[in-house]
Amino acid sequence: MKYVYPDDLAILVHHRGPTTLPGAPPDLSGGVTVLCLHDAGGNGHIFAGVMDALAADHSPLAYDQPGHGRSGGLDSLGAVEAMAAHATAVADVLGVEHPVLLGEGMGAAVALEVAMSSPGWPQALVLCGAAAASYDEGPAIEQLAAVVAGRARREFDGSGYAPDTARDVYKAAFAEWVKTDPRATLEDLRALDAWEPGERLGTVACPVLVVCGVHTEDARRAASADLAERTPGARLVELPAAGRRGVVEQPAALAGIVAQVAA
Amino acid sequence: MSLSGSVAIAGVHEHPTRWAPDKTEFQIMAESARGALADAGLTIEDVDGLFAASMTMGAMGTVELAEYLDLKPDYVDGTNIGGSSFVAHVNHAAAAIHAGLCQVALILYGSTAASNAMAIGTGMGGGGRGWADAFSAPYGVTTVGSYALVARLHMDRYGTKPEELAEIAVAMRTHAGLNPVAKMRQPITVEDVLASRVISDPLHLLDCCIISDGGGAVVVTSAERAADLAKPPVLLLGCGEALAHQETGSPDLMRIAARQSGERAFAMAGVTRDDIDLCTIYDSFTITVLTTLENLGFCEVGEGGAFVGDGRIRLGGALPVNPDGGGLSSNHPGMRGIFLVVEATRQLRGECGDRQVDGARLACVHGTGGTLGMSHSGATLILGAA
Repeated sequence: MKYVYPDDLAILVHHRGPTTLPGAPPDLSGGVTVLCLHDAGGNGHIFAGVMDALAADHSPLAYDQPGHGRSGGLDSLGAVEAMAAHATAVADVLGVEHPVLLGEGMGAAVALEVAMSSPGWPQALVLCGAAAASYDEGPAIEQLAAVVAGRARREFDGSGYAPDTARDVYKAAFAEWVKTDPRATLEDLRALDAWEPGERLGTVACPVLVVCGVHTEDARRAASADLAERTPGARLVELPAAGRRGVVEQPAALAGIVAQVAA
Repeated sequence: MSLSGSVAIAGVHEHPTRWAPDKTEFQIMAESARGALADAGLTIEDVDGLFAASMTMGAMGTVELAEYLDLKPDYVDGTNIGGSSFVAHVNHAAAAIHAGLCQVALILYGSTAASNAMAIGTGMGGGGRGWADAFSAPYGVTTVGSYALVARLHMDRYGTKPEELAEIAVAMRTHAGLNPVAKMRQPITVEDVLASRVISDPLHLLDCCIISDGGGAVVVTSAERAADLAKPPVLLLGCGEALAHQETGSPDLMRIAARQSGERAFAMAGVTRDDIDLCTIYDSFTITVLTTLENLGFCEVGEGGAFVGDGRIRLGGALPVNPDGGGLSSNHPGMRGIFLVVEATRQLRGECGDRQVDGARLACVHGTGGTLGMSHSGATLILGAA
């Protein structure tokens, strides 16, 4: 891990391989650079398993958005468009060229926004956790608003995982989620809810894989299918033994899918 | 020559961060030191007295800090009596300067309490080392629990209402809305406070201070030297310290350390409560403010609930408290005393912009450290514009 400072704000970057001096980017000479974009309220560490599986042949990177995990700032960037601009700024500081973007949930929306605003830059997108272009975040927003107002606790959420997922997996995922201030998570969800790519999805010019765990709940499956249908060149891929959090449930299998795209 | 008026605060700095996962405590202290020394028009070479404490500094902490800063001070004080430590450090620095033991004292605090996920209020109170803790620790008394004990007794004995405590939280949040670096700036109402979940009955979430990262620095020197420095000096007119504990099992929880330290500070300064233009009071919880105002003598014990009503402690009121938003809304990196000194100093210099108390000439600063209902410290300053 190391900190970089796009816009003078400390951003924690997760990488594999030897550390480097402050100001020097990590070594990205191995294979293809895979830039991982986290979900609402998440952080880059959630991709640890995927990154471990990719590290032998590729150069995986992840980072914590401002106000998330162990990056600086208190607030969410507040708009998917701003998150996309920030992603390219982080990539620029790191010297990333033509990466595969792996996005989960909100990160998938950010990846799509990057692909639409910077066509030709990402070489492919892998979108998992039901990219929320057509998923209703209303109930989650309502629940988090109560948390932010101090009226409710952040409840441990074990739903949405495949039935046989080990308890330690979703405990670890929850532990990562609570590292982000609920105010930032709430603003993430509001940003995601407000994001509507509409016809602009038609401008996506790189290969896109929409990955959906076979145990994902119906509404999210439908959102994934809808996204794959609306995005040119997109393909829906099912991830066995996973629900909506394939990133933590089946990191090696997901890494295999990413590696196929990167090959 | 009397200590009162002979020593001054010459420089202050509040680190603007509220979340600094990329920094260490010492880094925040060093950056704060740079800010306060620049504020005073001094350099690190001028510093010959070092005063510091933190949530994690151990017995050799000040030595490690001196090495980090590359300082070899002539006078060192690592007193740690909880959140009031830095208010007490001003007292100690003044005494040392007055006695000729050092000339420029640098007081430092830094903390990454939030980014290191410290459970400050819900952690165990008392530390379990004192003999009396043997009778309370097994029952799980927490820091917030000890303050709740005082709040519950206040309500039962004097009829204080939850709404009156909530008004303190609302006032602090209103002030924070005028502070661009405050962590919590979204306005709240009394109803919001009462609707927030109970942390330790009768204290709700919004009765409790926030947790943040942060730090600050204060430069103290003689009034004579301060007069020639970059900013108008703020004179130390009175000071006092006190410790309160369980008194072999018979404490009066309504009588807190502020009574003893406040009496001494006001007597030294030779001013009355009516002369005070603003207070900066440690607001770990709403009850802390209420009982501190009572024990400092701004109102009678038991009358605090009514005293804080009608906007009295808000900006524009008769006795504005914590115009920066305090620990309830601006920042609370574990030990908040240094910010009480910083804000009072800025107010007396007239530097606070939208949250400036009009015509502020005298400020009362009071820090509380520890657990109010069990054992705690208090330190009071009376500061005056030169």
